[in-house]
Amino acid sequence: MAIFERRDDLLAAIAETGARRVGGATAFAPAFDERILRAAGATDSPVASWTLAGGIAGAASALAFTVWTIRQWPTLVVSGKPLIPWPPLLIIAFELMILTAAAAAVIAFLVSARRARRGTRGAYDPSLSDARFGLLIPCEPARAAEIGDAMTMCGAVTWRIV
Amino acid sequence: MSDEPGAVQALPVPDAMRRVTRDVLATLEWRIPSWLAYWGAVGLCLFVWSIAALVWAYQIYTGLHITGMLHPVMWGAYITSFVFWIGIAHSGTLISAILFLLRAHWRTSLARAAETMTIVAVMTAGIFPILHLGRAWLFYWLVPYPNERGLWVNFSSPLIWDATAVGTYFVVSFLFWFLALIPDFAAVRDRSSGWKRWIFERLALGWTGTAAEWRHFRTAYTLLAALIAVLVVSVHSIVSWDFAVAVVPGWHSTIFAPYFVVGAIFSGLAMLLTLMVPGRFLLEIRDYVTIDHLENVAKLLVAMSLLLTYSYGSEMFFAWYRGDPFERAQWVFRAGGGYAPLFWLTLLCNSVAPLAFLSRRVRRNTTALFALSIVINVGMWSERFVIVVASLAHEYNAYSWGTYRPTVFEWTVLAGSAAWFLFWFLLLIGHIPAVPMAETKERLLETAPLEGVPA
Repeated sequence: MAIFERRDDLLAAIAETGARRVGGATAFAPAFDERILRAAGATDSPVASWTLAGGIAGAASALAFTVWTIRQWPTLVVSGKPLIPWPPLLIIAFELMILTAAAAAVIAFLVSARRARRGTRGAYDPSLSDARFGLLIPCEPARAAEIGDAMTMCGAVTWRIV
Repeated sequence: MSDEPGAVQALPVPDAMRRVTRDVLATLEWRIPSWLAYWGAVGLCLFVWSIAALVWAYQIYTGLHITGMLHPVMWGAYITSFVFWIGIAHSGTLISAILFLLRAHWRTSLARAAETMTIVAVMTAGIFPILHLGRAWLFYWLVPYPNERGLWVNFSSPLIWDATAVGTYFVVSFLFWFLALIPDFAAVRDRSSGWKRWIFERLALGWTGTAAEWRHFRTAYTLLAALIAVLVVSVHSIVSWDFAVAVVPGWHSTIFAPYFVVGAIFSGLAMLLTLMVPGRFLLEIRDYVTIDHLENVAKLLVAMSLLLTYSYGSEMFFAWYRGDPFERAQWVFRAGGGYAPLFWLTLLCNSVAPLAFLSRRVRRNTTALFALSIVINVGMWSERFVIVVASLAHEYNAYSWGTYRPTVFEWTVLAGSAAWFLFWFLLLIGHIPAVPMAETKERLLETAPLEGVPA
């Protein structure tokens, strides 16, 4: 696990791991940075698909539920108007679509984020939430010193075996 | 600390990021004299809303007759306040979600306060329909569930739309607020010990800041912002339909939805100034919430004021042009009847006073910003009052006209609601990072040039 003071050093280190054919490195950052995410290969997220599915499920179940409850009334005087009033039901469906889509987005985020940090538990350093950057590189024990030296060359302020 | 921007940006990026963490975490460690001011304000608010809670208990014991509500005005100060507080809740979302989607970076410093204000304002607004029910313990009849009465709720009723919309708004706003806090909670966790660390460890949900975590975080945050942007418009449109779908002169208007949405954003922005002008001193975050940020809010206020004035003009024009005598009579009543002082006060506070913000000197004067924000909020409450009460007081038949005046009990509850709002706002903002740390650092990284990085 190498710790860097500057974002540019981290980017250089990520490129270096690629050049040395060391795969599966995990980058840490104190803030969102598109360059780091691209360099680290974190380009896709399932959150959007989950959100879409949540929204569709919410709207469909809201429509089904409201129509079903209206049909449960033993008698309903509607003065010649349609029994199922679509405009108000669409309002309810819209609100529930937003609610379930938002809930699905958050649940998908929590599940995906938990999966993303699997295997990084012992490597985390509190300075990573302040101003420093990190790179966790999985490699054979025999190559640890070589990779560590390479990280130092890239500007790592410290590195350790975890 | 200074009022000039750039104090943090002038530092090298690593130092600037460390400074952000240090400054924002310092807001969680209350020291005298801030400690005294903070807990004094919290205690005062607790006292005032406790009095209001006693009044509510008295109202439950004796009945709604202690209010001024009587036929024909059965919606009074409680419903007025409900609409007012829901309006306040809207600006938090505007600042946070819509400005985020529009990449207006100045939102960052104000986003946390605005989102917190949203949640607390919805909590405050939600009390009023329950107060208005009289038999508050039956509020759950709004929820559709199988029951022994054999009845389902009427989904065609705007009141059910309202409950659904406001409930959704609260949940989604809370999720949006909490999601943005997760990386900041992790920063607090890593710099605390004992019970504080125990709490923030749980709140941070295991956040470590890996690249993949940031990707999922950003996707979820952007999607929530997009969902909230449409939600904010729909919620206040639905609140306006509580009125617009009724055939009451002064209410039955197609412009009500956009008119209410604009009014909501206007009052919310004003409340943000009311909170943040003193708040940036109390929390000592003047390097982050600078005079430039407050000036931007003032500029938005001018734009919203002009839109609101256009809505007023449009309503008045069509009341005259469409030739409906009841609609015309309603407007003559508003301008010259028993509620005329409030009508003119509304125009003065919402259409005339904000024009002072056209002057750069006024926009950059914190005293003027604070004073005008209070004026605007008074104007917005009186606007809601005129819409709700004056319309009911002067409907079709002269024999059913009436007058409504809030009683001392209602005024006490209204004061209590303001205290309730401030109490929760102060408690929350004083115990979470008051400025979004991760997002402020993101801005610093974004503006930093790349040095010798291989392509």
